[in-house]
Amino acid sequence: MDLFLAAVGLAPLLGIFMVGLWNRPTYQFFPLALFAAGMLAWRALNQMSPPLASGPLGLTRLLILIAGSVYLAANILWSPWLCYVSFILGLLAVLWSLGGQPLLRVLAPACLMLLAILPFPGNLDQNLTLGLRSLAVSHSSALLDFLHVNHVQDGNTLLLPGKSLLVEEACSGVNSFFLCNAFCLFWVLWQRRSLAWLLLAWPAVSLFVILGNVLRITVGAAAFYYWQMNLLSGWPHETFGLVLVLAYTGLILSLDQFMVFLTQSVRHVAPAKEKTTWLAPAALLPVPRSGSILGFKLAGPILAAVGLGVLAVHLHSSRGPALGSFARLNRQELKLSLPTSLAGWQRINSDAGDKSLVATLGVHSLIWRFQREGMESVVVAVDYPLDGFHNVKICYSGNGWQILAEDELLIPRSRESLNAFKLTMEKSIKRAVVYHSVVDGTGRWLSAPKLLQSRLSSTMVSSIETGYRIQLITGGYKAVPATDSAALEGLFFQARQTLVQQLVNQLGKATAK
Amino acid sequence: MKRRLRKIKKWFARRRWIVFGVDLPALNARLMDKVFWPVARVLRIKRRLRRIKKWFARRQWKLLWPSLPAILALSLLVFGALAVFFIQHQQDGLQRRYLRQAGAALAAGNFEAARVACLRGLAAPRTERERADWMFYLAVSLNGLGQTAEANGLLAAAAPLNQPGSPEGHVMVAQSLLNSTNLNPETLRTAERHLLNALAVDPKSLAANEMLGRFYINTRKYNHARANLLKVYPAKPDTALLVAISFDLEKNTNSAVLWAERAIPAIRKNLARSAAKSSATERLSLLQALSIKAKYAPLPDPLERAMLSSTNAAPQDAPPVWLDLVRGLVNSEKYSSALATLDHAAMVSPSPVYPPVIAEVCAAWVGKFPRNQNAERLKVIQKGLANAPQNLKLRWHLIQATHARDDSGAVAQKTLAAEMAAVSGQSAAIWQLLIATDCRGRGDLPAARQHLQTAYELAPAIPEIQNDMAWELLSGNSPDLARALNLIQSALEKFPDNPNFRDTRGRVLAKLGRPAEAAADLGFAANHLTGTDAKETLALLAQVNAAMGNKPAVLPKAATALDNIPKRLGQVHNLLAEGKYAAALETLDQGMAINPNPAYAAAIADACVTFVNKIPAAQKNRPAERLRLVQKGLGQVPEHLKLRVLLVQAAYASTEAAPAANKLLDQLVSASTGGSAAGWQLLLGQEARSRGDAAAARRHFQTACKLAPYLTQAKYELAAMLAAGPRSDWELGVQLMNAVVDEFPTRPDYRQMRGLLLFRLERHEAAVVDLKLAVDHIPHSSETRLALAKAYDALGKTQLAEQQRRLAKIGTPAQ
Repeated sequence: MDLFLAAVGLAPLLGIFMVGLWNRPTYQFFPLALFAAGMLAWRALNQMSPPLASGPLGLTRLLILIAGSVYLAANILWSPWLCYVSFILGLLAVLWSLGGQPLLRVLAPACLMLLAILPFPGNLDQNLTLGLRSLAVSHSSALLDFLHVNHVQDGNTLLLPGKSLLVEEACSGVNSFFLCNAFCLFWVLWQRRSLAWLLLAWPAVSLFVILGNVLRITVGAAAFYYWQMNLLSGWPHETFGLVLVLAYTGLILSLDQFMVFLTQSVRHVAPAKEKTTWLAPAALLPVPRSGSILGFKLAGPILAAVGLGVLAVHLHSSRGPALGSFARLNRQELKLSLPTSLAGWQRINSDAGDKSLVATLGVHSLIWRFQREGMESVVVAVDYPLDGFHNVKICYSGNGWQILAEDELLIPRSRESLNAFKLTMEKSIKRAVVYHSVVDGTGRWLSAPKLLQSRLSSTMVSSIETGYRIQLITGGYKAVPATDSAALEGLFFQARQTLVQQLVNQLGKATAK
Repeated sequence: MKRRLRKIKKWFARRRWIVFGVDLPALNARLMDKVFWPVARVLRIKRRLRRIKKWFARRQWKLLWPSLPAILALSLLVFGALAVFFIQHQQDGLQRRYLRQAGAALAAGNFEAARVACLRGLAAPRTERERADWMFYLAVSLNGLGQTAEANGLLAAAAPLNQPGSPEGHVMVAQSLLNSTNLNPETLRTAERHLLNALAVDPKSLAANEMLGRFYINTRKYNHARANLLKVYPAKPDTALLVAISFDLEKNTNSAVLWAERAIPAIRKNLARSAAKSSATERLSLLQALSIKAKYAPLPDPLERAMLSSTNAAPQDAPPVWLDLVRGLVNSEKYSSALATLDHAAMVSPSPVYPPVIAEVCAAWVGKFPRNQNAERLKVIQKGLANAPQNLKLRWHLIQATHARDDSGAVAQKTLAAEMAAVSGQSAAIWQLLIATDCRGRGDLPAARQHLQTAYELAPAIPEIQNDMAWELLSGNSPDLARALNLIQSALEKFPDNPNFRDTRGRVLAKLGRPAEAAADLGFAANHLTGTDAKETLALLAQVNAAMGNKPAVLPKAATALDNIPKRLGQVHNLLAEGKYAAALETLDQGMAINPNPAYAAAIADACVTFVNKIPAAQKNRPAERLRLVQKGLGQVPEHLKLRVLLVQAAYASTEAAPAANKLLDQLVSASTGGSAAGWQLLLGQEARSRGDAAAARRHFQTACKLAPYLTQAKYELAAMLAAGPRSDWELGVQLMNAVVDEFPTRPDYRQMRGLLLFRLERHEAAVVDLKLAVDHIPHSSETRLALAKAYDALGKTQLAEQQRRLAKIGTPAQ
């Protein structure tokens, strides 16, 4: 009963955590990881020789206290990440209570498997994403030079004569990276290999993934250059990706066999595989001692009460952020448009533009291009959905742009913030200016957290608001003259106003539905 | 048994083998380490190999197959890493490759590929200049792609006024400024600044120098113009036209003519290269050069005069212009291009002059085909005859073509039949005559006779036919000499001095028993005919003279016809190589007696020089012999430089032949005039200078300059003497050298001399220009470098001065 109540208490935030994982393509393999953890646990329990003695109560209580504190913090800060951490800690406490060290040791692989789906703190995985993408592109560029393919690397884009290849996350192999490493971990644990084995296999698998994706980009670019074959979009791209994932899986198994070949001789006698008799779950678990399995009386009800209470508070608050994350499951596509003439600018086309110039980590990007006599053309874009406020500076920096200046736009007299930022950037001989603002689904402006600046806190205090970014970018081979600022700002603010209105209307209707 | 052996072995191994106080196993170990260490090493390696072998033997090989994908992936990883590492350390090579790609793409008009290559080049430029160049190329690419606004922005960034930038960019900007309408002084100044910027970055830029030269011509700064154009001239000789224009505008006639004469062959060479695709601008340039020359000097070539005469056609398309181009192509044996040019010319400016020229070109080309290209030869003959059916050479070639054994022979016969069927009268008679000549040449005398008869029936008044008929009548079985004489008389009435006709008549008269008249005709013919014909005529003449009882006539012309000059010269060469100088001279003297000609005269002079150099000067009685040879050689070729030098040396030598040499020298000097006399004065001046008699040397050089003002060597020598004189002489020296340098601007020794004079006159800026060029070509001249260093010092360029001083010390050229 305790456990059941505890589970009820953990359910809301854990649910949000799972939804959050599903919304991140790099972690969409988590159901497989959970299944793998289950398999490891099932086998471990089946091979365990009962009965087991419970661990010392004092340590159980200590673990529960720690888990409970983390859980409390998770609820106060409304952090699914902390909730999952508290879940892991709570699980360890339960296992200790049930079977002590032997049980913990036996189920350690399953717990490791559960840890595999915990995102890195401080947006390290985001940095890894950007790093992997840059690595894939730069190495592909070097290989393309080796193959005498005429090209240039422009951030995360490869420019070929007549084609611009924007290397997105899917191409960079980020999604495969975490999946393959998790599978590698599972296989090493399943095969009961040593820690040294894992420490050798993990880097090798990571390198295989990087290699595979570098090859994908290189082959795709070379095929287009020499034979005008497009392998980087459409079904060839999807097929290629699938083949690569299967290849990675095969390579992990092959690498394992290779390491066996290198380390084990003919005389080595593999330990006899214990015959596993698969029992029902109830028969596997040791008999708990009387009293609360969590070490404290009413621990379960307290956890349930806290969890459900905090959920109720959040549900009834005016912000209603709890639904935001669930709403992301549906990933609603917005239908936005801009008029043909806006603030003295003429729209050239509705959905085109130099996408490479508009760097974004958003899922969707809508682009419009405007022109005005005597000025360079500009691109207006909407990127969504984002995790709260996302400074576009990071994206451009990741694409090789050097940020020369970042200014917040203010009303001249009153110095009030216009909730917009201006970036002045430079890359090689190109100059660009970006205006951007981020708004949530209700039309409220989002900004970077000012009090808790640490990256760790930005993970723990994950924003559950969905951000919609509007940006305007213009650039060329010479610096944007200061005299053009007024016209650019005029267009940006008018476009922003128009788009935010449409956005709020559409999202409001969707919520009403 | 084995166990026992093992026990025994162990027992022995456990013994302490100390013999006479020496621990044998330890000694063995030490020996193995120190003395037999290679063996020990080999044993160690063997042990390791054994261990490795054991390790391999213990592997589970069945696991290798499933491991192969991982092994391949690891290998691929290593290979990929090496490839990436290799590429990342080849940035210079990559930059060069992309530069080549950008250039090729721009040349091919593939602007998209050029754009990508330029962006790549801009990603990692090695220098600021390279960056500017890449920006320029990118601007050109974007312009080609229609992105003119961006292209203009980039071009402005690539060629800024306040920074070095890209020379090509500056040239392009300057060009666009100068091409714009409504040029104002500001635009001109800006264009000039761009061009000067280009030259500051790349002083040798041909485009910038040429454009600046043209600019200065248009702005009437002729000296500046020439200074720039002369930098271009060595690489682009047709720039001589612009130099000529600059002199023409200054009314400097001599220089204008000189440079126009240099421009004409250069432009002709360009035209020959492009032939039918030559541009109107190039042809106009040729006309311009010719007109400048014609202003101040006569044009001996009638075609050149015709080119300058006005016609209805545009000047550059006038027929004489095309014909001049064709003449150059034919002289270079580019017959195909010549015909293509004529076809094009006929299209552009139709004129009746072209068909005969086409026929002549075809006739000349036919003779150059190899034997196995009958079909191609026939096509050319047909083309020629289509344009000028009367062309005798082509008719002859067509007749020859009918004898080919392949299909072209049949085609040629059909063509011949068609050609003959298309004509009548004299033209048909010519065909018959040619066929008769062909038959005679092949030995088919009956056919020849028949055709000749037909020719005579068709056109009895043609002299060649009459001559041939007379021959026939003369040499037949029953000769009709009277008729033959009538025929040949008739021919001689039209062409009394034709040696062939005179020869024929001579033979007829000889047969008619009129030897005196025969001898006169035969003698005339023998003097004018060559080869086998002359020999036969000579032989007949000898018979006639013998019949008359006369001595054989001396016929210099005939004798010379019999003298084989190349053969004799070859003999002389062999004799000289064997050291038989006297025999060689004798052979040459014989040849000269029989057949006086310049070749023998030159050979005698050269042989005398060779002979003299072999005679030791110091030996007794040899100086006189040497003098005799020198005199002999100068008697043949008075202008021979080496003989003159020898004579001058002999005149001033302390030998017994010196007085005689002096006397001869005085005779020759006083007898010579003009350039020849100036040459003597030059030599005498050099001799005086070598003796240290500067005053005498100066006198001689001054005399040489007076006698031949155009002799640059004399001016140079005099300038050198003036440079050693007082300050008042230096200005004169500069004036002399100015004239020399104008004529030969790229000669480093002349520039060096002028530079030194200017330096002494403290005109440092001008001096630096000359001295810089001189040291570039004469790097080991310390005096020049030191002078240049001082000039730099005077101009405040101490760093450059130091560099020159350093180089003067070590005597190596600058990089």
